[in-house]
Amino acid sequence: MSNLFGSDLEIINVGISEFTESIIEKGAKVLNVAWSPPGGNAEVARSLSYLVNRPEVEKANTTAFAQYLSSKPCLVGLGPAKEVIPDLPERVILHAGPPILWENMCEPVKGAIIGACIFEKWAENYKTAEWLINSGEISFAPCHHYNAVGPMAGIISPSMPVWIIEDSARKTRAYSNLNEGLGKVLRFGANAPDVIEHLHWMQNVLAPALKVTLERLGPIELKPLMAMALHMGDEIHNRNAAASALFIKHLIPAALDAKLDNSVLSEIVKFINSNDHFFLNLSMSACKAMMDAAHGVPGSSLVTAMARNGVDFGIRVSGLGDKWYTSPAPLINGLFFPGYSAEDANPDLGDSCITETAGIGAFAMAASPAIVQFVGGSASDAIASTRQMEHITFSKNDAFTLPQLDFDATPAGIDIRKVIDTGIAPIINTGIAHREAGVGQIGAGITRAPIECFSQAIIELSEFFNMSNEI
Amino acid sequence: MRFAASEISRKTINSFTGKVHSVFRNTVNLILNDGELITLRTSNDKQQLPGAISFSAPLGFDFSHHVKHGTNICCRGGILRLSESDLTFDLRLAQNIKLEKNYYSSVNTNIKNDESWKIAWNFLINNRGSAGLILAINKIEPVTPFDVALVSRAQECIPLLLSAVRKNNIVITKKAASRLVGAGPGLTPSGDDFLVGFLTGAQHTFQNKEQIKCINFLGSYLSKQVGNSVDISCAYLKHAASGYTIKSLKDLTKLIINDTYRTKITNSIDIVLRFGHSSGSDTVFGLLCGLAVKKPVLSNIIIDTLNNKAAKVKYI
Amino acid sequence: MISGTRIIADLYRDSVSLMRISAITSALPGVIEASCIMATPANLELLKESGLLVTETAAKPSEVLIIIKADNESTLNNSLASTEAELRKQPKHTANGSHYEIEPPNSQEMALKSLISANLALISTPGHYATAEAIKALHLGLNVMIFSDNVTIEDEIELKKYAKNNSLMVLGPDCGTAVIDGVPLGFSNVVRKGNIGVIAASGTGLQQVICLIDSNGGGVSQAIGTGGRDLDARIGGITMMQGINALASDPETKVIVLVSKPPSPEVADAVIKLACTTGKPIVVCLLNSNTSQSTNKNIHHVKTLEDAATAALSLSRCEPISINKSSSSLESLLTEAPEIENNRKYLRALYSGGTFCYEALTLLKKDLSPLSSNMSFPEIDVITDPWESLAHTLIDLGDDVFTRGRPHPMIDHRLRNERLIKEASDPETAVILIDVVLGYGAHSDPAAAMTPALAEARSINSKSMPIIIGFICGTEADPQNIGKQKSALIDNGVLVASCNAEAVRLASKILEKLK
Repeated sequence: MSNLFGSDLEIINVGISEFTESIIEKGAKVLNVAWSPPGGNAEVARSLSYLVNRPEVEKANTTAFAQYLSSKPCLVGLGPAKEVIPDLPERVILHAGPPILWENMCEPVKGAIIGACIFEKWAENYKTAEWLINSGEISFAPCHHYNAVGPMAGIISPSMPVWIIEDSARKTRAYSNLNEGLGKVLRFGANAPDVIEHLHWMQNVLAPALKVTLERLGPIELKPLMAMALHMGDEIHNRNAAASALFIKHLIPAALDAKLDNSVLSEIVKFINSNDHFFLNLSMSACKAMMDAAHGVPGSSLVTAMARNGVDFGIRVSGLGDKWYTSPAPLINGLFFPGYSAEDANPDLGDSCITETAGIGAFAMAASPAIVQFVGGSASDAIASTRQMEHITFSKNDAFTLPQLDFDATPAGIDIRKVIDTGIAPIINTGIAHREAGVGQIGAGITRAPIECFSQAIIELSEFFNMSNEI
Repeated sequence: MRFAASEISRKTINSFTGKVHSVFRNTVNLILNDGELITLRTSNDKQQLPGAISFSAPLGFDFSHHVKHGTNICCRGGILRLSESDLTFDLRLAQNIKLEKNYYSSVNTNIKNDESWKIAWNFLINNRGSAGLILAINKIEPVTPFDVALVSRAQECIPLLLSAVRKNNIVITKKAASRLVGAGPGLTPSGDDFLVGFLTGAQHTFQNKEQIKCINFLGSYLSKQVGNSVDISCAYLKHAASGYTIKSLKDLTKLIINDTYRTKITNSIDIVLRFGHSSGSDTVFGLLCGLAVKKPVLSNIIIDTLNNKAAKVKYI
Repeated sequence: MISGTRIIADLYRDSVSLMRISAITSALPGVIEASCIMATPANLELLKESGLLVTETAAKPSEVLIIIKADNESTLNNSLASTEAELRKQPKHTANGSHYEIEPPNSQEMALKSLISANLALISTPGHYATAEAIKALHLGLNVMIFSDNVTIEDEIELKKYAKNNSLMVLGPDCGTAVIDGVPLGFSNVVRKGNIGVIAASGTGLQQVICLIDSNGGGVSQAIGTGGRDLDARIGGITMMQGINALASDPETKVIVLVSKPPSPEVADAVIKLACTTGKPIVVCLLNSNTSQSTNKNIHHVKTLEDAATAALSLSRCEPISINKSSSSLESLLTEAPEIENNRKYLRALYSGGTFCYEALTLLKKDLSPLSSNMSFPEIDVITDPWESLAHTLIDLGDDVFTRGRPHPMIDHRLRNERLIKEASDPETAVILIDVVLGYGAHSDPAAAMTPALAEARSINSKSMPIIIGFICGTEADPQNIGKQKSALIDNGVLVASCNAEAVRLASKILEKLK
């Protein structure tokens, strides 16, 4: 027997908003949906409808999310990529974002790749590097394909030192390069001799010293450190000062204990201290580990990766295997440093929105009202942003609580169904790179993942389920 | 926050509406529009009452952070939502628990060995509970006038109940029970807890048609006590009348009937005493009375213990 | 010594807290005795027996009663207050619902977070999105009313099958009208609540029946629109049968009315069979069907919407049904009809409601010839050009050909006004017939919208003009003020009949007189 009669009629109105008049007049409850065609077209809308509140999808999401929650990323060491990342080909350069051909890459990424070739001593200069690349000697792949992530251009070449993050719950690993610092650096496409020299310093001085220090320290669980940073005003994507400071607190006693050479110790402390974003790459790889834990559950509609290569924005979905769903990367309109404007900006770039994918970054913006000084908006916007993300996520991660919301947990587990159904795209806090190689960061802002990526994924997920076209 | 229910002991899950009744850290009680009670709980202590929904929650989860008394709740399409909170529960993923009713199964039988009962009785009267009907039989003296009046009522009604049920006298059974409903301290009043235990004991040991009629009548009467007691307690009485009681009580009953070791019995009583704060001792008291109805020797132990209390017995 | 009580409603503390707080209060200086107890009848008796409670109290079993005996009044009042405060003390973080204000939701699922006990989705998106929204609503456990049309029959079958298997109802697609639990939905009229339930596979058919019930003093328990195709053989009347079952067990409903065009014979049989099992009187109006009277004494077949309302009213009042064809109102309207020239001989009916057009065709098919319409109707010619009337013509202005890119004629009168003037200019037109539909969603003042056209029609040929017959489908409580509408129409020279059937009968009689 239907529950339509005999109890209070409460209506959700979809379409002609005037229809609410007669209902309100009568004193019954009605809520009008601010409706717009899901995904902008009927095919996507139809595909979506098969998936909404479907028990198989909810079950798969429950499993995927539980795996994400139980993930325990720990920093266990670091080493050269070729020694540490399994199955890394000899002449490969990893980059941020979904796959892309050399000829289509944006200038900052090209510049960074050239710099990497020179760093690896495969080429002496720009010209020979280009020649080498055009001859097909070098292969390219997304960092994600090797369980790695990198910010901005995200370039990882075989000799570069990478952090090793181990998920102690699942014994799987994720990697990220070390943050070079601010200014004209490789990740913005700079490849001048001083950039390369700095990379060599990191490879030959910084990395070995950190390795020894970490051996002294033992594995560091990253989630508790990140949780504390969230309580101290970081959102751990664009604002990492507290996390970086906490990290250095861990390192220093162990570094002293490791009896490093005094000048080396002095250099590395000075270097890490000068970079408030030093922790970013650790945050990113921790989030990568957490999302890898959620990936690969058949039927799950949760997003396990978001990444950009400066040309395309791509997402991956837990239940849809390793396929990337891409759309042109958006331009960001944010706050620009003096002398720069939107015309100078490169489209969105970097793997760093793996943080938003895992429920921090812009999703935890409420924790970091000060971020609005860099990305624009007001402090109450920061809170509203986090609240808005609750409408497109599966649940919340109580490992990360937000003081400004009375210690409510951060929304996590982007659900492609909810994105398309509500039209609310995931929000991302991001730095803005100059579109010419090597100039560097020119501002910061808030951007949204393109809805089109989610539309494509919805159609494929519904195909996965909808064998006989039954509702 | 989205949770997936792990276990449910209720037939239909797709659509119901109601309000939050009472909120505790790990449990909320929901009263539906038709009066049914549903318990939503984080622990998996498998107590197995009808209408229980279990789910596993993170450490530190506390319902009172999310809902309060009177919060509206509704289940649509298998998703239970609690108004003005972000808590939602997917009920479709839960394992459906089939509940075991107490009575009239062929394995039910009278107590095999009276000694098991005595072990339980002695453990109970040495229990240091200081409130409720237990005061009528244990070593603690009632102090406040309210407690004195309560003990007096226990001395009056419990012997009456024992003899009336044994003689299948419906009229006196009803009279005695009616004086116990709603009586005593606690969110579920002591008298109700006693009667839940009593029904459980009787349901396990009654077999012939006449006796069943009387117990059935008592159960039916106790199912209709809305207005005479706290609503949540009335729901528990109704469950008990239908033969559903918490697993720990059922386990204790079986242990006593089947003549088990002392320590097993006392451990089992401990488990019941821990449930629901002060309800435990009154419930066990009632259970032992229900088990003793058909055994004059044991009934007399109960009546003697009652009579030995200072306050005098008053008859209506 | 003084005693006092305080009742705390709507508060649940566990037993340990109640006892702990009692103990704390008892220990306060100047307090002789204190108790926090659930106010069951038994506990109130015990409190009286123990001498603690001396007065009557209004406390209820699920309320906490604080009762204190103290040395003096000020101690009593202070301790009552402190005990209440202690009971009400919430743990550190209490339920904070403040950020869950109703922000405009962007999806049905988001709406459910705010309106958690919603039980109906009313869908009026463009047709090619309507099915998707309906599927979502059903998955979310909501009943659905689909106002939109242009939903395929394959989709309708799937939707209704799913709904049936999940104890949900789909009203529609193409369901323009419903009144559920007294709430008007879609294009609907405000009707009195009563004991007649109506289930109709037609929007205007439903509106006519409920308006007539209301204007004759009766009331409607539920008015369920099933959508125009529900009784198609491929759908099998799923919604109508769900409606019949619901009304059968509804204590408010005494009489059930079913309205439709003729369904496939199997579906008709199944529906009637089910109706017989309800034990309640059923009025069946299958327009243009030849079903003979049923053997079951509970089933009453009628031929018009008007008769359906009449029969239902009689049954609801336990009176014998008397369907009176020639009423005094018809006679008086006839006398009011002005004389017209003999060369005027044709009827031009301009309907905004498709069912009215259909009903008119059933009533006139034998009387008028040649008769055509833009509607498909057995044995009646489909008119070649719907924009040009030919002899006797009944037009459904709600048809796609007229509404493409335009609002429906019930909302926008321009097209009908133009057509009215055109018919009035035709010297062979004897009678023009129009329907005026009121209620939510319809034009806010139809009479005013038509007045210029009616005036112009009159001025074309002041000596002779066709007779204009109209009828209003509406109620006293509708927003348009039915009295004003009727006066305005009469002032414009319109003969206002009580319903479509009467208007058609009037037209028929007028045309006969002209022969």
